[in-house]
Amino acid sequence: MKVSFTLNRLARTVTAEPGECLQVLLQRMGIPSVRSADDRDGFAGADTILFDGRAMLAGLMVAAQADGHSIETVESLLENGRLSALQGAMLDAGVVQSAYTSPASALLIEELLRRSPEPTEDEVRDALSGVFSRATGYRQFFQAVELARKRRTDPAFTIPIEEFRDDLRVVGKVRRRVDGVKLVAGMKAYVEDRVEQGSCVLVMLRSPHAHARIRGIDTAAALALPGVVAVITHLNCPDIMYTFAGQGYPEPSPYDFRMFSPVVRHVGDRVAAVVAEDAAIAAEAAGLIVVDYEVLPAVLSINDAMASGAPVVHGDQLERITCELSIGSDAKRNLAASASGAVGDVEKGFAEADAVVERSYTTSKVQCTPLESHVVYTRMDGDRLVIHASTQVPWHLRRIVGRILGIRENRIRVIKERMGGGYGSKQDILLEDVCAWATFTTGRSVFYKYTREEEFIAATTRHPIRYTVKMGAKKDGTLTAIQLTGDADTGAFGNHALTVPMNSCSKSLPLWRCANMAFDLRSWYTNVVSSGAYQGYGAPQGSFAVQMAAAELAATLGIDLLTFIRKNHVRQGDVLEILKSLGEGRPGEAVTVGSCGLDKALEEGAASIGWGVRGADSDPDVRVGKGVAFIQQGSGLPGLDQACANVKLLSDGTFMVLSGGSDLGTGLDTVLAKVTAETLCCDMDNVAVLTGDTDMTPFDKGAYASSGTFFTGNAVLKAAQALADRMIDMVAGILKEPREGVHLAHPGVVQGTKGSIAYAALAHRCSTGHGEGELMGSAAFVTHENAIPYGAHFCEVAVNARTGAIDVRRYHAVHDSGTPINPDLAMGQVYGGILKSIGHALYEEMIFDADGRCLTTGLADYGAPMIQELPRDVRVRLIQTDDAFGPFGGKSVAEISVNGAAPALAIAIHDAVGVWIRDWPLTPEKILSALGRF
Amino acid sequence: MITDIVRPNTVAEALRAKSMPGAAYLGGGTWLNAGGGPEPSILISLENLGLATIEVAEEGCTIGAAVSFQQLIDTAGVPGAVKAAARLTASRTLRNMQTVGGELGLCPADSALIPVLVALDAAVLLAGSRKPLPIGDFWVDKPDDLVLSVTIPEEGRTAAVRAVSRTSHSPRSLVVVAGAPGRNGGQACMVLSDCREECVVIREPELNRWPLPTREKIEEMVRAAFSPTADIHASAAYKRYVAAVLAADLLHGLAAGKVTA
Repeated sequence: MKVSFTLNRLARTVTAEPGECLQVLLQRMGIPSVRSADDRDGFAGADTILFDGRAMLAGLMVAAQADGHSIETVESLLENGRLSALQGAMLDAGVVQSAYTSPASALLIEELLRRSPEPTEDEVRDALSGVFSRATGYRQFFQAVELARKRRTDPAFTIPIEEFRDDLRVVGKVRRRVDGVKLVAGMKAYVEDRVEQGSCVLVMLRSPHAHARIRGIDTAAALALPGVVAVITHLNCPDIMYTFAGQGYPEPSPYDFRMFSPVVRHVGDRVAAVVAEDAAIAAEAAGLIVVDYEVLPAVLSINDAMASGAPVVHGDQLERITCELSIGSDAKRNLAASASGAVGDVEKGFAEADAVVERSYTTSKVQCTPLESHVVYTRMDGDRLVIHASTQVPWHLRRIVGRILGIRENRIRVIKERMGGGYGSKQDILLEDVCAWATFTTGRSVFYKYTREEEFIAATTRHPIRYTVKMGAKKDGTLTAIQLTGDADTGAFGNHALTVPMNSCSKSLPLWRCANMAFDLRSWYTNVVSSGAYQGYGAPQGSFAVQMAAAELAATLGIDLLTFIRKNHVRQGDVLEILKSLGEGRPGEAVTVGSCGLDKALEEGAASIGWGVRGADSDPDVRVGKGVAFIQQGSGLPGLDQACANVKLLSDGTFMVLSGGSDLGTGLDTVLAKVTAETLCCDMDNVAVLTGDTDMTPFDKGAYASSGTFFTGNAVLKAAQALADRMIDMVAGILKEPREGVHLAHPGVVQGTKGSIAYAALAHRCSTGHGEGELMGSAAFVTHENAIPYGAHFCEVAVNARTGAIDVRRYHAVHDSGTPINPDLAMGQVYGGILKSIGHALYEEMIFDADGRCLTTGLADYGAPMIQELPRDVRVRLIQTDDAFGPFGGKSVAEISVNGAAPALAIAIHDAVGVWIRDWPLTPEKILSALGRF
Repeated sequence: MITDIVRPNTVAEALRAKSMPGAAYLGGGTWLNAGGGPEPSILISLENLGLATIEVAEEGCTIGAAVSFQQLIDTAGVPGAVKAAARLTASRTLRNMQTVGGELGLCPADSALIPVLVALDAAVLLAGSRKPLPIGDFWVDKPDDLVLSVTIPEEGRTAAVRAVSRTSHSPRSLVVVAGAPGRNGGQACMVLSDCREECVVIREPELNRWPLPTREKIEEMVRAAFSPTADIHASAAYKRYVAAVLAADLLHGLAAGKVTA
C-alpha cells in the first residue's frame, strides 16, 4: 500500500506492506537512528519516535498506522546540519557513552521541553522512563536537561563540572568526546549501518536441550528453499578446537569449543546456521531443519557438576580439549580450571584471632545486556575477508578467526565499529567465527545480529560463584587471616574459567593489610549458557563475599565497620605479595601500591553519607540503615599485555593518532586525543583518532581488564613523545642549536632559542621532494607496574519490615582514579556502574527451569533497572591522586564502579533490619523470609 | 500477515469490518504488534470513531476506549486510583500508546487497571449492547465485542492500588486494590490478583464499619481467601503474605486519609 506521512517536516509517500514494522520502514527510508534493541517488546526505547508530537515506539507500530500522521526522529533536531542546543547539552553533560539509545533520549527530552519548559526532576524521570540506558546510569541526564533548558535563553550557559590538574591544558578538563557528534545525531556508526544491499542474513538454529547428542540432522528441505545460500552444521564446519575467549595468546582458557559440535551443551547452543537472502527466508529454512536428538543427562548446578558420578559435560571430546597454559583443568570430572595460593600461614592467623567468622555467600548469573546486541557483518574484499565487528578485541578476533578458517592474518581485516555497549561480553567471539566462515565459503556478505533472546541464551554472563570466607581478627580489630574458597559455574565452556575466579581474589584480598591469606578456587562446567567476561570480571563477586565477611566479623567483635576498615585497608607503598599467586596460569608478581586514595575516599564518603548517624522515617514499619564497601580494580594486565600506537604529523601541522585500542563507548578515543594534544602542545581539535582497524592501526590487546587508559593511553603517550623528540631533533638541526634548548610550544610551534618553526611548516618541509619523510612516532607499551584505582561506596536504605520493600535512598561513591582524564565521562561511567550493580544486587537474575531453559529472556523479565530504579540521591566524587605510572597520572575508571553496590547494600539492609542476606539478588522476599514473616 | 488496514468512521462500519475473516481492532497496537499472539490479516483502526474522550460528570466519569493511559493521568476528574493504575505502566512512552480499550480487549493477567475498575464498580459499554456490563462480569465473560467506553460511577469513594514486581518495568507478581466505602454508595472491598490465574474480590460487611477490623484481622481475611500461584519472581507464600499486608495497610490508610491512590 502507499503510506503517506510527514517525516521530519517533509511530506513523504512510500510503498510498504501494511504490516511492515514502522521501525524497519524508517530504516529503509534512510533513518538510521531509530534502532531495535528489544525484539519489539517495548522495553528499551531505541525505537522511539515522536508520533504526532508524542513519544511512541516505532517497533510496536506497523507502517499503515503512520498514514496521515506526523513522525519526527532525531534527524529532525539537527539545525542546518549542526547539533541542536539539546544535543550539545547532552554531550556537555557526559551522557553520551555507548549511545545506542542517545537519539531516543534526545527526542524524549525534546518532547519534554516542548510540553514543560521548566521541568521538575519527577518530570524528567517520567520523560525518560521509556528508555534503557545501561551505560550512563541516568544521573547526568538531569544536568543535560537543565543545560538544554537554560541554553534556550542563554546559549553560553554552562554547568560546573569539577576539573583536574591545573598544570595541564586538556587532560583533566571537560571536552566533548571526539565521536560525540555522530553518536548523538544518530548518524551511521554501528555495524548494522555498514550492511550493503544484497547482503545475506544469518539465522541460528539453537538447541532446545541442555545436553543432547545430535544423532542426525537433515538440512535438505532448508537447502531446497529458494533464497537459502548455505546451511552450516557440525558436519561441514571446520574441525578445529578453540576458545572463544578473546584473551591474549596463549589464552588461559581451555580449547573446548568447536564451531558446531555433534553434542549440544546448553539450551541455546548452536545447532545449525542458515545463510539466506533475507531474514524471513533464513528463519523459515531454520524451521525446516530436522534434528534427531538423543537427550543426555544434564549438569545444571555446581553441586550437580561436582557430584560423584555426575554426567560429564565434555565427555564426548575429553581427548580433544587442550590448554595452552596450566590452568588446573580436569574436564573428566567437570573441572574447567582451578587454582590455589597463599601468603603467610592462615592457620597460625586464625589461632591468633580473638574472633573468627566463617560464612558462605552466593552470587547469581547476570547478563551484560548491551543495548546493541552482539552483531557482525562479514564481506569479501577480493580474496581478503573483512569483518565489521562490535568487538572489544579486534586483534584477538583476527587471530582466532584466522586459525579457524586456516588462513593467514594478512588476509583478514577487522574493523571495529562504534559499539553500542559491551561491558565484557564483546570480549568473546560469539558470532564472528561462524559469520566469517559463511562469507569465506560462500563469497557472500553476511549479517548476523543477536536477538534479545539470544543475548540471554547464547551470550556470556557473569560467573555465579559460591564462596566460603573465613576471616579472623583480634579484639582491637587487627585482621589476622583471610581464607577464601570459591566454586564458580563456568557454564558449558571454559572461557575465562580460570581468570574470572582468580580476579575475584586479586581484586578483593589485596584491599586488606593481612599477613595471612589463602585462596582455593574451582571453576565447574555445567550445561548452562557459558559464563565469561563482565565488567568487574570476578571482582564484584569477590568483593561481595569478602566485604560481607568483614562486616560480619566487625559486628561479631562489636567494632564499627568503618573503624574496622580504616584499621585494615591497604595503603600507598604496601607490597601486595598475594599477587604472586594470582598470575592467571603463569607466575605472578608482587606489586607495590604506587598511589592509594582510600583514606580520603573513606573520609569523604563517610562525611557525605553521615556515617554513624542513624536515619529515620515517619513510617514506623520502615527501618533505615547504612552500608559501606571499599573497592579496587586494576589497570590492565602488567607483564601480560601490550598496546602499540603511532602518532603522525600531517602536512598542515595537525596530528593523526593510530591506535589499536577499542573504545566501547567509554571515551577512550577522547583520552587518546587529550593525551596527544597535551603532549604535542596543540588544541584537541588538531588531533584525529583512528582506532581498532587491524589494517590501519598497530596492535593493541583490546578493551578489557581496565586497560584502556593505562595501556592504550600510555602507548599513545609514548608515541606522541617519540614524535615530539623527532620534531625537536629536526628543528634543532635546522636551527643549528643543541636540542636541549628546543621544545614544543602551544598552539603548534617548535621553539628554539634562535627561532621557531610552526608544525605546519615542519611537516611541509618533511614531505617535499627533499624532505625526510612523514614524521611519525611509534611506541609499544608494556609494564610490570600497575596503577590501581580505589574507591569507597556508601549507601542508605530504607527497608519496610512488613513488606520487605527496599528503597535505596542515597548512594554516594568516592573514587580515586588518579587523574580523571575525561572528568565528565568518568563520572558517567561511575554512575552507570552504580546503577548496573544496584541492578545486579537487587533485581537482575537469570532464572532457569528444571530442564535448563532460561525463563528470563527479555529485559523486563530479567529485571534490568531503569530510571525509576535510580536512587534519588546518587553522588559521585572523583578525587585525584598522583600516580606515577598512568598517562598523566590516569588510572582506570569504569570497571571498578560495579564492585561496591552488592556488599554496601547488603550491609545496609543488615543495619536496617538485622538480617544478613548472603545471596544475590537481595529481594524483599528474602528479607521477609529471613525475618521469619512467612 | 497483515494485508490491509481500514479506518471506519462509525461504530457500525467498524462492526462490519470486524466480521471480515482475520480482522482485529487496533488501538495503540502495543500488544498486537509485539507479536506472540495470532497475527490478524486486517487491522481496524479506531482512530476515527471519536472514542478518545473522557467525560467527567456528576454521575460519573466515562472513559472512551481509545483513551491512552497517559490521557488518564493527564485528565482532571479521573479517579486517583485509575490514574495510579495507569502510572503502573512505568514507561511514559508505552502509556502514550496503551489504550483503555486495548487493556479491556486483551484483559492481561497482570492488569492493574481492571482490578481498580472492579473496586470502583465500573461498567463497560459494548457496541453490541445498550446496557453497560458490570466490569466484573466483563472480566469473567470477556465478550468478543467492541468496547466503546467504561464508566466509573461517582460514589464519593476512594481506592488505592499497589503492585509488586521485581522492578518498575518487570511483569507484576501481585496487584492489590483496596476500596473504601463511598459517600454515595458502594461497598468497601479488596481486589487481589496474583497476575496469573487467581483474582479474588473480598466484600465483607465488616469492612464497611467503623472502626475497621484490625490490620491483623484483615490480613487473616485475605490469607483465608487468596491462594495465589507462584511465578518466577515470587513464591506463592510470599505473594499471599504480602497481599494481606498491603491490603490491610491500604484499607487502614484510606480510612485514616493517609494513603494516596
